[in-house]
Amino acid sequence: MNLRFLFTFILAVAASAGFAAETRTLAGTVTNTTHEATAPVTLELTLGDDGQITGWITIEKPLTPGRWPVTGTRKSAWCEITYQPTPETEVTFRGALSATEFRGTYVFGGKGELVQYGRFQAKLAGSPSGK
Amino acid sequence: MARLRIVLRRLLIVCAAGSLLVIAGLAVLRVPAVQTWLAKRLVASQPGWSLEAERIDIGPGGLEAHGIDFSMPGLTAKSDPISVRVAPGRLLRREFAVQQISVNQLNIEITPAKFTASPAGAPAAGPFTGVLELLQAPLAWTLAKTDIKARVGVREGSQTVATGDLTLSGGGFTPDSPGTFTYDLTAASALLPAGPDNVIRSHGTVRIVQNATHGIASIELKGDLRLPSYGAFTPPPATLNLLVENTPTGERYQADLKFGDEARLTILSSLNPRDNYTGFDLQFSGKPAFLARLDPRLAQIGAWQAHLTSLLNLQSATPAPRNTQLTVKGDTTPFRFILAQKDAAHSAQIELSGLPLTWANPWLADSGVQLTAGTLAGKWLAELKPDNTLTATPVAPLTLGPITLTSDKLPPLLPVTVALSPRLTLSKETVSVSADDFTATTEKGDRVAAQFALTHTLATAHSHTTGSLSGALPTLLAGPDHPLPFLVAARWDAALETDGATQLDALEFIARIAADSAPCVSLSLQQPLRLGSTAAIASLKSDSAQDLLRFSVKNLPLAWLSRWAPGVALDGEWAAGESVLRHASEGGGFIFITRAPWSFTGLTAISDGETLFSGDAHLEPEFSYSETLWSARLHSFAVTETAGRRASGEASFDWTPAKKAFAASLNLDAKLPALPHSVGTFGALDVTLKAKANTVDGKVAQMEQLDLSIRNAAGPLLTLATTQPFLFVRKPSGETIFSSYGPLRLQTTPIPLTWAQPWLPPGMAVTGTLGATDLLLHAEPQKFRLRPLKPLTVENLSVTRDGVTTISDARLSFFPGVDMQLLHQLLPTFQLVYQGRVHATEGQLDLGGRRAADFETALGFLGNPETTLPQSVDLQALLDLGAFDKTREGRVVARLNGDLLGGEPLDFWARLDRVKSLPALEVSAHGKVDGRQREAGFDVSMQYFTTPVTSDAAFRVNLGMDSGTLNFDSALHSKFMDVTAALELAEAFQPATIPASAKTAAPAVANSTTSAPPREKSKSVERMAKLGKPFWSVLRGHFDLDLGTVAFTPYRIDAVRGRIDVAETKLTLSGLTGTMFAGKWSGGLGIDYNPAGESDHFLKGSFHIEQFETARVVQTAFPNEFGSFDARINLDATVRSDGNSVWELLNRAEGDFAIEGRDGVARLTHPAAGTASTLLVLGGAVSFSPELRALGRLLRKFAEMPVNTLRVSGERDATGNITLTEFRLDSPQARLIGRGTVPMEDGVALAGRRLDLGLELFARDEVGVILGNMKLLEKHPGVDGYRRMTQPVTVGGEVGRPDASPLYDLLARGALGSRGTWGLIMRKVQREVEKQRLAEAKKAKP
Repeated sequence: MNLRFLFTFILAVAASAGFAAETRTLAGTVTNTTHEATAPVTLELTLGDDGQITGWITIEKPLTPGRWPVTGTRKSAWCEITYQPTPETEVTFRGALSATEFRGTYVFGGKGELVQYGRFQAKLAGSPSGK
Repeated sequence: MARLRIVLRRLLIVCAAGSLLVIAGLAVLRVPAVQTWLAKRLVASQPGWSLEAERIDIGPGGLEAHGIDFSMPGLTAKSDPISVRVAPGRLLRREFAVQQISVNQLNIEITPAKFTASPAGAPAAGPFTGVLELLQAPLAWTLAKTDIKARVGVREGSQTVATGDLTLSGGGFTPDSPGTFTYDLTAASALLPAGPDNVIRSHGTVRIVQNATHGIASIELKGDLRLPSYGAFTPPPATLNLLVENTPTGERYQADLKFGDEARLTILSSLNPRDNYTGFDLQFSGKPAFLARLDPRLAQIGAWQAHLTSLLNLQSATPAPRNTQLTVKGDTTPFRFILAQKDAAHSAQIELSGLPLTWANPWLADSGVQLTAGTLAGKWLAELKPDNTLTATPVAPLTLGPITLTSDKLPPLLPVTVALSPRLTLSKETVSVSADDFTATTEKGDRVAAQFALTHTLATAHSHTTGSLSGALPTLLAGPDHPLPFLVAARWDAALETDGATQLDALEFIARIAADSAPCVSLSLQQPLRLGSTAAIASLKSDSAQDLLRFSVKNLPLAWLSRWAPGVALDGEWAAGESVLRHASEGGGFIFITRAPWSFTGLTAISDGETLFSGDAHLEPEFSYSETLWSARLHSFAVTETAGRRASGEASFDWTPAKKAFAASLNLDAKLPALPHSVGTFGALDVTLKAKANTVDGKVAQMEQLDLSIRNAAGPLLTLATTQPFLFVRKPSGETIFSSYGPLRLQTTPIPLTWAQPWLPPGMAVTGTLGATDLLLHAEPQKFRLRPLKPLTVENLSVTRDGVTTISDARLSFFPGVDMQLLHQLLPTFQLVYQGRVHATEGQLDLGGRRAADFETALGFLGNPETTLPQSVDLQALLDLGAFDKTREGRVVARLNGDLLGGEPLDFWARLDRVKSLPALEVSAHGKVDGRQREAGFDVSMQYFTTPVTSDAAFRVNLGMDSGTLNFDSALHSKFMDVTAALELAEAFQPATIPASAKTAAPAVANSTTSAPPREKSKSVERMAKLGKPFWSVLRGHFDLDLGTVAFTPYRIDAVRGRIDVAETKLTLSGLTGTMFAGKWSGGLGIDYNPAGESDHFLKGSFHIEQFETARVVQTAFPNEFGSFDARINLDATVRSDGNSVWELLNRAEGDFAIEGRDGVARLTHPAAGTASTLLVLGGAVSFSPELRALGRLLRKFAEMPVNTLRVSGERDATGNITLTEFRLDSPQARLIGRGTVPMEDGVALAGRRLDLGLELFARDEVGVILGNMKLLEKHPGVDGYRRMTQPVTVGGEVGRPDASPLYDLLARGALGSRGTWGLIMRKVQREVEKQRLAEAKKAKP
């Protein structure tokens, strides 16, 4: 029994080692184009080899400031992440994620309000023009 | 005596006293105060004259005066000082000589109105005898010098209406010589427009001649004259010439005023005091340029002249004209205006003729109407009656015509000729015009006769007109081609009151088709009616139940309306209708009520053969007007088409002037059997529209309700509904903004795309279904937002064009959205600009059930009603290339972000991966749009993740936004470029090839005896279709190449430099240099595009490698090989090709090459050269037979054979096969000469490709002896001492690793006889070794 557990444990460790994750911290701006407001944004994304993304997003004023967990998926450089500023609302970022930059558009919706649109641009810290 | 003496003394005393008194008197008179007093008294003796002076000093030498203030009726003069110096001695010669007159600061004010008022007691004025006659002097006089500066003012009442500054200087005036004076006059007037330049200026000379009677014989003035602008009229500079001179009978006057070449005025007159009348002759001629200064439109009048002659009685207190005649005529037109007065009667003939009506055209331009011909003519007798009434009685009718109107807005109209005899009466009280014989006619029978009278009372501004007309208008309405007999009759009696009110006492209009038919249109006043202010209306208000005006229509044909609706043929009849005008029940207003609904039957409208409408219509309009409310209502309306369509409903609009508030409503129900092109898609439709709008408060209005519903038999197709009112707010600036409490909701059900077929381009067909939509439109001040409640989808989309399906089984889905901002201003001109973004989110495209693309996009735009410009873009997409073309693989993620107008950068990035097993490619471009240059400049970098080194490239390009070309003028930098991998990637995206017309096989191998293992032959040639344009068609410019390494597996060129020039039809690589195999690589290449050839691209180039190391070539392909030939050699190659793409040019390249090397080493080894047996033979370690030992020596010679020269030449054909036309290797003891081939093998480097080389061997010296002993050489050597081998051999293997086995087999046969092969001899060697080993073992046993 102990041997079986040990074997399972070794397999699990090996498997987790096989799905190595990469974490990137990107900083830039996010602009709500519906209301023409721009705010700093920081994305801490953990990119799994299985195409799953987890992490955090931090948005500053003048947009609603806060830090929220994000989840998402990645296909090649096509990346989509989502977070919920409030239980009733949801923001979805979609764009292209290169080795140094994540850039695209987003949609804010929910709570029975009109959808708001925006765009974002964030770069790896230390990359050219990165924030 | 004493008495005498006393008398004398007394006499002397008396004389002395008298003398003293005289002296004293004279002395007193010399006292200035006395002189001043005397002068004042003297002046004051004239009635109305007065003089004030500070000091007057009259002496023998002249006069000095200070503080002069002189006045007489109509004139005042002030001066300080006045100096007149005379020569008294000249008086003794009866000559009054003035040496100098100096007057400064002379101010003269003239009041013309007071000149006529002679002061009481003034003597009656005598007859006018002339101007010069007034300037007579008793003595001859001279004036040596004059210097006068004066300011003259003309007053009218208490105001100065004109002022002038005059300087006059000169002199030399004597009885014998004329005086010449220079004058300078500047005059301004309150009548002229304000402005520093609006003054009259004149400068010139005055020449005065004295006659024998001490008078003035002539005064002549010559000068220039500049008149000020007056309004838009700026006169040109003029010259002025005035002359007044004595004549034997009186005086002659002449004035000549020339405005350059543009106009000239001449006045001539002669005065004879003995005649009562003085004749005046005035002529004026003007050219178009002169009138154009007044108004450019007047230039059309052309050159013209005016001539006025008259006799004036200058002796009369009020000069009266006699025999006056004025003629104005055009030089280029028949226009004449003549006014002729006979004798002194108060009457004149006025004649007007030839006045072109087209002169009115410039003033009609804005109306869009022009006159093409016609003149105006008339003749009157104007008389001034004793009661001061002026009458103009027609002597001949006033005619206008033919009046031909042309207009883009009007149909062709027949020329109309108008004739009437208007009589004008003008008195102090009234102005009246009347005509009894007005006629207007056309040549096609239109004729209207009328009589009218108009009287305007000046004192009360009251006008009254009466009249009537009757006639026939067969063509005016219906046109000359289809005349319709309209007979019309009308009469009126109306007055326009002082307060602006109009009172109609009679008004009637009737139109009928035939004289005996009932009226088809009738308008008749039922009782007097007053229009105007509320009070005016109320003053004649009647019971609101009584009709004021009655309007009725019955069986009025409407076909004549076609004439007024270009492009549309109308027909039908206004069958019936009657409406009346009544007083409103309350207030001073009216109401227009429809008593019998207006009904139209058989209405048709046809345009271009297509029936726009066919059916009947009924409506019941009502209009009301009062001071508190204006309203318009359609109580009911119904339109029924013969095709079955029907619309009915009601509408209303109310306006409250006091509140500036409106309320409107519309209810519409329509039944539509089918919309155009929709019979099979939607079927019959029911449309319902309900709308209500009203003013909420002042500037705020609202759309209270807006519900639109379109249904078919299956249910609603489209609904548009307000959830809450929309607000319209009018800002103080006049701008109207639109806002909504809640959004407007638009819903549609699925719509088959075949419905849109009629609107698609020819040859294009689309099938599929536009899914149901559910959209919200939200408005905030100046902002509009469109939001989806569900995605917009297109299912089963299929698109074919000209029978070729371009899209099939596609599904498109995305969430649409729009943010838009509108800005507008009303004044001074209406302007509208907008800005916004269009969004498509969560976009998906499926092709054949496979996801082809995910996309998100936001496109910013801005514009005005004329232009819309893209402003910004944020677009990202994930594309699966295999979904678009199943023969391909790959996935692309791309994005484009930035500013499309150049304000901010534009950024592009894309990644291509999963193309077979090829590495990923990333491209990024960063630049800006230059809107003025219409181009965008980008810094482009590319990374192709090849292993072990990533390929890269960086350059700058400009995208021409109009031409669509990429222009570059920069350097192409790269550290490493794997061309093989790049071509593999590019080949994966090659367009499909077409079968070739012929296949090309590998050439037969000369002297080939080998049976090489079967390897892939060159593929059959398949030709690609012509591109129809250069493959660089969108590229222009040049690159300076700066490439670190260019790898073309397995070869590489380092430090590549050169230049690429790309022109419209030519691509050139020039000055290429680099290093390859330790040699210097250089070359050049050109590709021409010629669409006329079988292939449209043609390549030609040459390459050279100097002193490259052959060993490196071999070791590149076979790293463990020493190489069959080791030397530094030169390679010269030319290449040519034709094809329809880059790949065809590469694959089909053919060329010639020549290789030459010296002082190297050749290695002709057996493939099994490494075996133990071979090594034994080579080493000679075993005591072999003499034959084997000789063979061993020979093999050592072949294994490391020094080479004096190597020369190889050949050619490569279009399929890649290489033919070696010459192979020659010279070594000190052997010579190899041969020919052969290197067949094409895809994917195999040259050094690894199969070699088939037939060789002849020549030997001498030791090698010759050995081979000769083996009987392999001919007996007799050649002249060079070499002996030919008796039979040729074939060398196979690969180019970089030749297989000389056949040679070794031959050597074996030479060593062992005809039975031998290299294998036998090796086995024999092995057996010999074994024997020797066994023998040695036996010896070793004890």
